[in-house]
Amino acid sequence: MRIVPDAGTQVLALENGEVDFLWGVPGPHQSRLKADPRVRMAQTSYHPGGSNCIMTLSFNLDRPILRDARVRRAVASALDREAFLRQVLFGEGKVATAPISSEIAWAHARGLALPAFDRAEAERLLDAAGWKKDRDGPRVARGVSGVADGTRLSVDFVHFPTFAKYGELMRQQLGAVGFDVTLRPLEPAVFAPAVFKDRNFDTNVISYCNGPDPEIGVRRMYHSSQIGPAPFTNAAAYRNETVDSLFDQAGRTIERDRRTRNYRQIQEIVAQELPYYWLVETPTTRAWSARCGDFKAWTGLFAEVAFCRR
Amino acid sequence: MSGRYLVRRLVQTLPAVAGILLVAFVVIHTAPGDPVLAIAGEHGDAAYYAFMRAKFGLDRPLPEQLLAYVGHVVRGDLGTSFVHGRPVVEVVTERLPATLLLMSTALGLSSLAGVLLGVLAARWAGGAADLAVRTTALLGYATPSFWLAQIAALTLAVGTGLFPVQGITDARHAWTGWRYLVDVLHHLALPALVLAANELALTTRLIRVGVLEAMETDYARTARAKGLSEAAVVRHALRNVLLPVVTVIGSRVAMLFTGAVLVEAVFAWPGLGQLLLSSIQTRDAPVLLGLFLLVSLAVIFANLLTDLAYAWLDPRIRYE
Repeated sequence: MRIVPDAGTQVLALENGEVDFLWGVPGPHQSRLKADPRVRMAQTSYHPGGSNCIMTLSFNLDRPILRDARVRRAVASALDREAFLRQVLFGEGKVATAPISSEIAWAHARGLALPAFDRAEAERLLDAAGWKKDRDGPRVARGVSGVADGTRLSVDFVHFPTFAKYGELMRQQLGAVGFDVTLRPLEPAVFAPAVFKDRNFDTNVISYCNGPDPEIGVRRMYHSSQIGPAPFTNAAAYRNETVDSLFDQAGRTIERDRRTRNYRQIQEIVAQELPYYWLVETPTTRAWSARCGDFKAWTGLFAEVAFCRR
Repeated sequence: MSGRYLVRRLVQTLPAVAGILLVAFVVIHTAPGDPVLAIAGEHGDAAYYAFMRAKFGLDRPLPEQLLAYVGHVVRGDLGTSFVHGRPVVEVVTERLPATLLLMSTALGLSSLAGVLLGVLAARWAGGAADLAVRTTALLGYATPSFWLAQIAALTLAVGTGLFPVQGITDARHAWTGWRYLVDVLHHLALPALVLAANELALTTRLIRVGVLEAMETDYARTARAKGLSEAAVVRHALRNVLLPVVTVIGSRVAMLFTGAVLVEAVFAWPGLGQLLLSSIQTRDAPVLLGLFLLVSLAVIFANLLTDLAYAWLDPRIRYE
C-alpha cells in the first residue's frame, strides 16, 4: 500500500501504471478515467470512515433565528440540491430523498415529502415567519419571537475546508432569498469542539455516515441523549421524546419489519421538523487497472482474491 | 577560521533558537483546536479525554508545560508525538534523509544551473540566448511550485512515461544494492527539478548582473590586454561574483524547505514536508516544535556555511 496525499497524483499514478487500485477518484477526473480502456471503475457507498454517508446540513436549534421551523423549511426550499450534485460532486452520488440512506433499503423511507427546490416558497415562508425584505440587503426581523426587530437574517456556515464548495453554493442560493451567510471554514481539530462542545455555530455541513445499520450511524444524530461534546453526534441538539422512544424500540428488537416501521415513523417526524436537511448521498468511485481483476470494491477486504496480470 | 570563532558563533545562536522555540510553543499551544481529539479519536467519553490529557501533560498550566519541555530539550529529548506515540527524534529522523536528499539535490542543481545560465546570459548579453535564459528563469520563479509539480507530473511523467509521479521508490519492487540507488534517483528526478526551477532565477540573475559588471572592471580589461581569452576572463571574474550569490543561496534554505513541503505533497515524497502538514492538522505539538527547531538550526547552519564559503572564496576574509 502506498499513501499518496494528493488526489490528482493518485490518478496520475494509476494512469502511469505505478499503482493498481485507487480507493477514490476525484470528480473532475472521473470522465477521463471512464473513457480510458486501461481503467475499470465501480461505485460503492462503503467508505473507510463509515458507509452510506449523506452530506447533511445541521441547524443549531438553540439559536433563536433557527428555532422557527418555517425558517428551516425556507432554507430547505431555497437549496437546489441537484446543483450540489452537479457542481460539487460532478454527478457522483444522488440527491438525498430521506434522512436514512437509500443504501439501507429496508430502513430508507420512500416517498417522503421533503421540501422541493422552490425559491418562491422559501420567500413566502420567510415572510410568514416575520423576516421581511429590506431594500437590496438581507431580510430583517419584524415581529420574530426572541429576535429584536431590525436584526438581519444572518447565519454562519461552519465546514471543513474540503467542503468549501458546499459553502459557496449555500451562500449563493440562500443569498437569493435574503439570507446573509458567513462562511467559517474550520479544520477538523477545531471544527469538532466549535460545533459539539462550544456549540458556536448557526449551520454546518457534516458527512454523517449511517453505517450498515441506523442504530450505528443515525441514532446519534437525533436521540436527545446524544447531545453533548462528543464529536459527530446530535449537532442540532434535537429533542423529541417520540423520536427517542422510537429509536429505543428499534434498538431493542431484531424483527426487521418492526424496525422498518419505527424508522419510517422517525423519518416522517424529522422530515417535518427539519432539525437537519439532507443534501446528497455520497458514494465513492473506486478505480483499478484493467490488467487486474476480482477486486471486491465495495468491502474493506477488497483485495482478498484480487490478481493482476503482468 | 579559528575554532574560537566557530564556538562563539554557535553560542550566539542559542538565544535565537530559544526565542524561536518560546514563540512557537506559545503559538502552537494557544491556537484553536484540541490535540486530544486527534489522539483519542472522536468517540471517546469525557473520562477518556481527561485521561489522555493527563497522560500527555496537557492538563497542566501552560508555563509549567513550557518549563517541562525546555528541561527535556536541554537533555536532547524532544518529547513524544501525540499522534505517532513515538519519540519525536525518531519520527523526525526517519523522514529527514528524504527531505535532505530532495533539498540538497535541488539546491545543487539550482546553484550549478544558475551559475551556468547566468554566465551564458552575460556572455551573450542582449541576444536571443540572454532573453531566453532570463525569461525561463523568471517563469520558474514566478510559477507556484505545486502547479509546476503537477504540470511536470502530467507532461514529463505520464506524458512521456519516463518518470514516476509518486514516492521515493517503486511501489511494487523492493530493490536492493545499486538497483535501489537507481530507483531512488529515478524517483528523485522530477521533484528535485521542480524545486530547483523555483530557486534558479535568483542565482541566474545575480550571476548575470555580477559577471556583466565584473567584465567592465580594470582587472578584466588588464587581463584582456594581456591576451587572455574571454572565457578565461569570465573564470577570473566569477570568483568575485560568487560572493553575493553564496549569500543568497544560504538565505534560501528556509524558502527551500517551504517549497519542499508543497513538492513533497504532490509527489508523495515521504519527507518532513508531509510530516509538517499532518502535524499541523492534528495539532501534534511535540512534532511541530521539533520541526521548527530543526528548521531554525538548519538556517543557522546554512548561514555558518555561507560564512565559511566566503572565507574560501575570498582569501582576504579572515575570522578570528
